[in-house]
Amino acid sequence: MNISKIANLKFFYTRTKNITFFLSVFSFVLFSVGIFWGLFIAPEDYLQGNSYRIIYMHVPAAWLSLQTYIFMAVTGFIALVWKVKIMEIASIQSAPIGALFTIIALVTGMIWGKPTWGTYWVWDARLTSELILLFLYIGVIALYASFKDKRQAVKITSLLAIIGLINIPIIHYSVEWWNTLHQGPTVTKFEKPSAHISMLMPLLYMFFVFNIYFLTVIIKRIRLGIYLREKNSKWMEEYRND
Amino acid sequence: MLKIIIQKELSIYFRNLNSIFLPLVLFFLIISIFPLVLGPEKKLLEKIIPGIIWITTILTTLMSSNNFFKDDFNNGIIEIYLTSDASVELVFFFKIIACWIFTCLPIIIFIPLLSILFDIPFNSAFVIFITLFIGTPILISIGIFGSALTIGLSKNNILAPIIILPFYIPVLIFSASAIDSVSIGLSYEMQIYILLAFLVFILPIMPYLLKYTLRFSINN
Amino acid sequence: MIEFFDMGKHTVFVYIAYIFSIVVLFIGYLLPHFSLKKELRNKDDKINKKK
Repeated sequence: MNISKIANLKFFYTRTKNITFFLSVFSFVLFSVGIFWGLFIAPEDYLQGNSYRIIYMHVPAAWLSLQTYIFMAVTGFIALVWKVKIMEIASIQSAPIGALFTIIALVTGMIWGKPTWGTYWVWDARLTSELILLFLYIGVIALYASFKDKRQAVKITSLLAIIGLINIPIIHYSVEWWNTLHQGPTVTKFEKPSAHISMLMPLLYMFFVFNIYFLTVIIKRIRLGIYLREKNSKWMEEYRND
Repeated sequence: MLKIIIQKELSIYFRNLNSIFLPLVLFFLIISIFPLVLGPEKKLLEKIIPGIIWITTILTTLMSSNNFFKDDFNNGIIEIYLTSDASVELVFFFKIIACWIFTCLPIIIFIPLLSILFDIPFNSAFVIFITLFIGTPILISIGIFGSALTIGLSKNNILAPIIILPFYIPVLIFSASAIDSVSIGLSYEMQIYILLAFLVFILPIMPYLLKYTLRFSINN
Repeated sequence: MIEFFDMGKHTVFVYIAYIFSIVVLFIGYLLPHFSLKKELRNKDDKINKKK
């Protein structure tokens, strides 16, 4: 099996139907285990009590939000340079998933903030850069939505994603630097949970689960994107008639 | 070829002096609204005036760079640029510079007047002047990039600002902190150097990026 | 049973965070699922009309 075959839209669409079903069930089971592990089996933190358990959702979502942006930019780059159709679809279809991860990271961060800081929102470096990341995602999605010609739209959003990827570290470090300037002594950052192995394991596990989830949804979304682009093509009608 | 384009560009700007005059008026109008909203309390205004100046500059640059390519696009001139043998990058570079000279330079020149209006001490006014001088070309070129991305759309008035505002953040952070530092008597050189680094990085790349972007935007 | 689910004074926060995340993840999963189904159904309707 070579790469050009997987990159073929027809091949991908026809072969992934069963895979998505399997992956959906798999990630559902993995999530159930992970939630149970994070909520009930992992030990209580002696500093933050039980509220620290939110990291098992918050931190993987934050990692994945960044990882999805990298995915979007890299696939966009491949689409622009080598003109691979499936990469165009993958690039734009990953944007809504990334936005959802960002929203999860933001909201769980806010909920965590209430017991930890006493307020829902603090202009902390990490929350602020996460918020900016959400705006970057919204920009990409809105730009894509406003074009009529979707193939042209993908090229332009890929370009924006690549430029955004170059910009993210700059934004991140400048926000961090800004935060150290303005941080009052009363604001305490998230206390890093003492990295006991029994607390770290569920976190790594959840990171893995989120990755499986991402894989599931991106394949589903690519299938949707392929269908939208190829719905009037001959092979699609033949495949559907079978 | 290049000479003709530059001459044409300048003559367009000079022919309607509105394009120089209006951003400046807009800038002063927005600035003078702030005391009306926040109250004329001197202590408060002193603390927030650098932020006000920068936010107003953002609004002005956004508005003036939003429709940067509109006329050229409607006339079909951009297609001629892109298909011609002339070095388009140089043309775009001079267009960016021209846009900056006619929309931002007037604002920067009027900073002394502003510092009288709001009673800004000389040191702070000087740093505001410097940061605007280095920062606005960056803002203008990012704004022009945004207008190149959205040029194919008929209604793009609000989309381009949404896309490019996150990219403004580093410039804003370092400028604001330079002004902040000088007002409490700290050194501000580092922030200025970082801004300069941004400028040196962005200005040469931007014309190539614009050429690349416009090719996508126009092909349809 | 209730004791098992109890997390002390932070119970509400933990559960709200988890429920919110799960709901959003489900939405993210179901959105492409149902929009593909809808597209397929639309296409079938069109073909049936032609016949």
